[in-house]
Amino acid sequence: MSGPEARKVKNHLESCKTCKAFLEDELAFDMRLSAVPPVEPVNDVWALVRARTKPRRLSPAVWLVKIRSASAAAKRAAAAVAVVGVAAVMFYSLNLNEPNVAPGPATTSGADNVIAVKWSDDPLGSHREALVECLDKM
Amino acid sequence: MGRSEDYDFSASNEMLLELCKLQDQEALRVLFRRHEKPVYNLLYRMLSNHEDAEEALADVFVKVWRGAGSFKGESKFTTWLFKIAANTARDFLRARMVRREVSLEDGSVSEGEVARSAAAKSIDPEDCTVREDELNRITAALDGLSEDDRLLVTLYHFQGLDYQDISEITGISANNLKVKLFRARQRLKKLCEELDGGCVENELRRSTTDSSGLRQGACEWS
Ligand SMILES: [Zn+2]
Repeated sequence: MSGPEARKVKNHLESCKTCKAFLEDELAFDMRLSAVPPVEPVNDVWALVRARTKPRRLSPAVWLVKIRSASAAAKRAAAAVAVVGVAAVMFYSLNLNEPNVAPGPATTSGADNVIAVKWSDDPLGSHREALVECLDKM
Repeated sequence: MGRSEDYDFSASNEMLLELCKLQDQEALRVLFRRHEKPVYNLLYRMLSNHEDAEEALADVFVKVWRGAGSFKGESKFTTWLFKIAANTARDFLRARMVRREVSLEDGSVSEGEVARSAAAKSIDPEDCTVREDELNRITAALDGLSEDDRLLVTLYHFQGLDYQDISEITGISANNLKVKLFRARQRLKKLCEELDGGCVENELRRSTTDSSGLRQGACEWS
């Protein structure tokens, strides 16, 4: 409400008992509702969710995190996503969706353009180091 | 390396959802832990009992898992999530209604029971267990509201969402929403006042019939 409007309402409330009582009643009810504490689950429901959301298969690489925010870095990251995708398809015949590449927290340090790759059980084995090195150089 | 240990809890909701698309159950677990309480609160306010609310909570996150691909980022993740929760609560309420109808056909539930609980869920002013504390009174009053009114009041007053979010969740236009919310709130207030009134009446009756003069139960709102 703008200044003059607010003043008009304020003046009315000072003179009109009905509106004043209504407003006070509403405010009291607001207080009453805001005093209701949130309810929390009694049991841990996660086990139930987990049992019903079994992954169809384990994805080898699931997460790419870009550190640099510059556009050049974004381009390199997009290329990195493609490399991981191609590598994953080659090695495991998996169809990986292209994940969102967004600025995120540093997971490794030192490198200029670091991409952290998260593995479910490191199925790349001896190829992993070579792949990560390849990504770092992009 | 343990899957739960190598997870980054600072990842955004949207990024976790992307990972759910890639069948990463750990990402779902982080989303679940992050949002289970507010989602549960909404479900409990809608369904009024823990058993159903917990079952519905599981359903909501199973839907998040299966429907991750349908999130287009047009709304906030939490708006999308609450929309799923609101629809799940509605599904539960409808299933409950169907169960009652079936029970009635079976003869296992009396018509009176159905009329009491299904239509207006009228509140028995004699039932002092409902009114013995403020929280139960609010819960009982909410229970007396229609499904739509309860959802609006819950989203606004108990989840603290703004008009825009509620409008997106419910599909009600912003202008209509204010009117509908005001009316729902007035109905809730009236139900609360009825319960408060019944409570005071019961208190008076008790204090005149109880020869010991001791007050039993604190019914008044403070
Ligand atoms: Zn007035």
